[in-house]
Amino acid sequence: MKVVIRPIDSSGSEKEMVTIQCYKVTEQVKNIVRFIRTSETVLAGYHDEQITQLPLPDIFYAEAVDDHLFAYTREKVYELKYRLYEFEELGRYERFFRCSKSTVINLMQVNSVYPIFNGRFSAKMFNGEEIIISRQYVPALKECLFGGEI
Amino acid sequence: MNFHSFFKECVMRFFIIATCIGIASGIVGPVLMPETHLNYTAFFSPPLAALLATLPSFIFYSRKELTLKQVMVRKILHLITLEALLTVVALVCRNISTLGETALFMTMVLIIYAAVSLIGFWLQSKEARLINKGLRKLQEHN
Repeated sequence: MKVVIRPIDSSGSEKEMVTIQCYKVTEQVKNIVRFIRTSETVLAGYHDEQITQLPLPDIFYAEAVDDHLFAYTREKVYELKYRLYEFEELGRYERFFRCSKSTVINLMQVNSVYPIFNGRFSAKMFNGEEIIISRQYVPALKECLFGGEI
Repeated sequence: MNFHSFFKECVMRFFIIATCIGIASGIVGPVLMPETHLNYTAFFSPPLAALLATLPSFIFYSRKELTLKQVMVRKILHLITLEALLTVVALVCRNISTLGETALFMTMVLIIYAAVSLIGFWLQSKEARLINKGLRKLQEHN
């Protein structure tokens, strides 16, 4: 595939954009689109009265606690001014997955999954934290990973 | 958990229990009652007993996600109900009569209970391996 980069005038007369010219929208094209969309998504994270630009891929998981949404990165916890379902929608292309009523996890940051009691699973994240995957979300996870292959 | 998923699990549990009862009868029967001859109706015993043993599973049914503590409490309640129900039915049907037979029967129920739990856990581990494989693929692909 030929890659063409055309620099534009920085005055703002032209908008920055990515055009993909293809015969067919294949999985590879979809992945490129996904990558472009997600690499741009940055959220405002609130921590100790400071606002931090939080790239979506850096978030390991987000948890809703008493009408507040918290984003957990490798080391810090930030508050986000979103509702959980809004965050879930934002993270859809970034491989975020709703794993319980109050939590959305980043599948790219899950090290492994193992079974625990009563049909539930625990997801061990790359930072060592463990998140419960409710049994009712397990079929959706498999659908997300295998897309109806199993 | 919705009722449909719960019912599907109960059906799966029913077949596992029926198989375990069949195997347990095949092992314990010749040892305790070697002179007994069974007729064709005996084939209905394992599924009937399995049906009876599946009924207390409704203790686990809840629309809300149960906490680990709640699951533990319900598991204990489930085992007690199961032991009581099956023992009473076996006593009423005169399958067991002496104290020794009752103790052996209850132990057998406990072993089958443990076997069913282990099989369930093994199936879940298999599912976890599959999910992990999918995760690796997803992470390598991106």
